[in-house]
Amino acid sequence: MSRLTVRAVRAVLACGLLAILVAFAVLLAHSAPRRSGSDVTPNVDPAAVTLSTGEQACQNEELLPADTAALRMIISSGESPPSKLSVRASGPHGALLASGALAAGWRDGVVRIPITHVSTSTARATVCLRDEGPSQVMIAGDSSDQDHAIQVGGKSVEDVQLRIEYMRPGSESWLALAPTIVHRFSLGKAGFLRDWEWVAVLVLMALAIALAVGTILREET
Amino acid sequence: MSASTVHRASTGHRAFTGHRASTALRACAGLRARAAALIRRVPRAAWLCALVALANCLAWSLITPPFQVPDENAHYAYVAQVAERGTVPRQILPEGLLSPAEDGTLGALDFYEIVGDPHNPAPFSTLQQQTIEQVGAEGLSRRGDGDALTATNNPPLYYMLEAIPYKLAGGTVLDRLAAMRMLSALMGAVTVLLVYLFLMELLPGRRRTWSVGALAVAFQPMFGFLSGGVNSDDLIYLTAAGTLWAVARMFRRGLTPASGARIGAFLGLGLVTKFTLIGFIPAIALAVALGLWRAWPRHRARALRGGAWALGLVAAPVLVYLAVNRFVWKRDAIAGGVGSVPAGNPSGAHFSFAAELSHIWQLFLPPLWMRHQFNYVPLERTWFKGFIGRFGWLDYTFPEWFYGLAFAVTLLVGALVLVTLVHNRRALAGRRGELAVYVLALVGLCVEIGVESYREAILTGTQFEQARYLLPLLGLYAAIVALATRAGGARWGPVIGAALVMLALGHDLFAQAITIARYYS
Repeated sequence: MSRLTVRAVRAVLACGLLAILVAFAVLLAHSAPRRSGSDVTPNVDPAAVTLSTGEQACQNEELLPADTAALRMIISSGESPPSKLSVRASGPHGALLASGALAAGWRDGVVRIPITHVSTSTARATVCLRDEGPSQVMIAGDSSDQDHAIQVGGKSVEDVQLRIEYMRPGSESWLALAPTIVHRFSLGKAGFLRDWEWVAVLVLMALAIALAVGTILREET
Repeated sequence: MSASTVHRASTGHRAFTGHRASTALRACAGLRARAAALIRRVPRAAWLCALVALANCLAWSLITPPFQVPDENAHYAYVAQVAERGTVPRQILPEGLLSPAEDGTLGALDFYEIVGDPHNPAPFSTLQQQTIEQVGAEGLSRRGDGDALTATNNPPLYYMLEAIPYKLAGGTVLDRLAAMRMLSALMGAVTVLLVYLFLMELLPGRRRTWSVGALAVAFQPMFGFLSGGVNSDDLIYLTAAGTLWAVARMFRRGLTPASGARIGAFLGLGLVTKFTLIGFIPAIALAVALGLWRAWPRHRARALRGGAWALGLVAAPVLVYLAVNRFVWKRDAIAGGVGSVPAGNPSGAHFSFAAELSHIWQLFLPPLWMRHQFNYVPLERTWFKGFIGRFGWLDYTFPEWFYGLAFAVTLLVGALVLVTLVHNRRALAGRRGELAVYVLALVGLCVEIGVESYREAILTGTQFEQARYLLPLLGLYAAIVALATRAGGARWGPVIGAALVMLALGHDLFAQAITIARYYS
């Protein structure tokens, strides 16, 4: 192989790795609102629950995750002007954990309702969303979930669950979220992998890249 | 009997036993030496490519949350049935129950909420982790009703192998699954090794292209994703790559008992892994027929022995499986049937051979005069986009622009391959028989997938086909990449090769990034 070719191969490998690094740097710097949790309810019915002015829907057995500063739900007001919405989250014994409100004027679709910051996780929490008027709102969720019931206007409604996503404060880059992702990586995994899994992924991919580049360079000689 | 007779007989017996033992030892030593020599003949670059694949597949196995590889819950249940009861699953209607241990773990992981919904993440909270640990500590039974859902009708080879890490790992369902995934990753590494060996035989004298082709496979994200999970497809990829290698080697070196045995062994093992490899049978029959024709009449006896070995080793495991299935496990000889459609079926649709042919055509090619059976273009959506990447339980993909970029790269690679083929048209003409075998392997696999797809459409009205079913042709994918590299000749070929490996690496890393975003953010 000519010296020119060898140099060109090295340049391509260097440029390729650099391009990957730059792409990942850009990706890691990308900032957006991030989730602290979700009740993993499928979004199959855009109007799983309809609230009239003054009514509230309360969903229990929620896992209110730590580091939550907002709720994200899919809400529509149809043709009417959007209502003011308020939220209360309480613990299993009724203690208020967080509350918040969203002024009227939001747009149909994915709606973010800010609440007071939640610093510790609470299981079996109850989350209530209240329509403060002036019009009715429709909330997305699953209206065929046989394991769940919610309270709407004080009455139990069977087979319904609202989709609620819990959001962390503000916007964060992937880089800022990395320690949280590392923690999440350790959940729901085999016991012997849990604490070092993320390190293993980094080491394995570094090894794969080094071996691949080494193999290509080796073929030059 | 006198004492001396007894003594003589005893001495004779010892001598005979000793002779037999020493013969066996010599044979073992000979086999070991041959195996060692064979391993030594494998180039170092092939081992390095396999190591790259092992590292990548292991990384995928750690990144993808438990049971998020297609049908992993079903494949786990099959392995549990083999390991816990020493038998294969049987179909229970309506669908049987998984073991309490597996079912409890799936529930604690929110498995049923996560699959199919790209907006639902893996567990985020330590409270969920406590629930998962609680289920693990409850000591729930690892035995279910004996049904392994969609995996029930599969042949047992993959599951018997996976029963080893299942047993060795012990512990919770998640511990066992992680160990089983490691074996799948190892199968991925062996697949890449075999792909390298296939390229060595297919494109002799083009050393640099072998590494490029094998690395393109090692970094193929769908391959990495699937080889990082528990799925019998992982062993299919290995046996298919081995079959292609054995065929290419036979074309280079002639049909001998050894080459015939190699072809038969890989295909036979593939068939008792999953019947998908039935699609390879016409191609292998053609390959063996061409091998016999080339050897005739000079090496007729040797070639005939080779053909017999190929046939015998394909047939033996299949016949044993069918017999054991029927008489020991009391299942249908071919559990679930292959391509058969019962007369009465729940969907109310009726089987028609003409409609089936049309279905198979439209599954891979644009419809011509036929009644449209798909409201999308499978070639684009199922096969192209699926091969570039559609992960999880087909529930998350790359952003749309990425498929456009991948299409542009595919066109470029296609153009480079065309240049190589035109440039080497004389050599190609001389190898048209071999080329026909590979084309027939592709067509055969497509027809097999099409038959299954039509059967599923008639029976349930659902979509069966997924891009992963074409991954047994990874060897041919590697060959395409290697041929594209050759278009640049001695001067620019290595540069093209390096660029293609970097593209494959970037593709793989991007796929891992969207996987992390899908489940952990």
